[in-house]
Amino acid sequence: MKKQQSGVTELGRLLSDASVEGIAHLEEVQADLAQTRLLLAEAIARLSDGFGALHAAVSVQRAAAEQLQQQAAGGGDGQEQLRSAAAAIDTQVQAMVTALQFEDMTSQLIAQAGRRIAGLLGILAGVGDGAQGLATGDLTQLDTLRAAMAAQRRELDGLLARSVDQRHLQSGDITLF
Amino acid sequence: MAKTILAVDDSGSLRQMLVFTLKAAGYQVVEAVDGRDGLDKARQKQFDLVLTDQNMPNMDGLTLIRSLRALPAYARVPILMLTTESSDEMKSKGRTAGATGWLVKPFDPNRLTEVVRKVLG
Repeated sequence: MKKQQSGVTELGRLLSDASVEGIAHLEEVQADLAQTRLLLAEAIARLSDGFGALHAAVSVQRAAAEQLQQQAAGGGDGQEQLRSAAAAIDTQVQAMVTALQFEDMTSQLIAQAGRRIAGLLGILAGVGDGAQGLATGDLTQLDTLRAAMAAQRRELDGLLARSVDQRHLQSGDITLF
Repeated sequence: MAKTILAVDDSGSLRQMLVFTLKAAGYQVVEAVDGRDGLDKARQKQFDLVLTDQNMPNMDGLTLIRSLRALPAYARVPILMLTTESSDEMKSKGRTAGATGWLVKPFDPNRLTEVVRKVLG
């Protein structure tokens, strides 16, 4: 009996240590995610602004080139080259507009990961609390610990709904009702 | 006179791409940062089309659609959902709420413009 109680005490200490360790690592992950989110937000703001400015400048340049071309010779190879360049730019612009939407999806995924981490922190904190009781050799704390973990797991399950399934930055389906 | 579109999304970068695309296609665009902001703006001004995200703070897209459909001025205005959500279950909820169409992100500018033209008639 004494041996069993000593084992329970040891298990309690082990769980308590694991809880403390786990919480420390998860808090680091939380901080990394928050930093990633900030950097992504700044990057996308700069990319979007740069893209808008670049597109506006190219449009002005294109209009000026067309005008010059018309004044100079009134057609020929130059106009064809201009048309071809304009079409190539349009294609790239369309692709960029689609790709630049990545931040919307990644920020949703980061927020979801953050919610899961918060749920896991709750579970580990619950384990830590229960483990302290176990460390005193009180076997009844096992049931309390199980109940607390089950409650935390249910809470975490509520956060697991996926809202972003995209694996590529290709345009999605369109359904008109 | 250019038709006016209300673009509702909590992502600033997504709104920026929507504004870029729709203005290039000749539409006027007003932005709203979530469903509640969208509803407030729709009450103040009559829009020809509403384009909304689903997952947003304060008020989600489905609630916004239901709220707009309850307003006589928006009973027949086209409302398009533009979201990362792609499940049939969510699309069905959108249809029941009164959405005109469901577009899964990311959007392609040409395809978006095509759909907007189509629903605006």
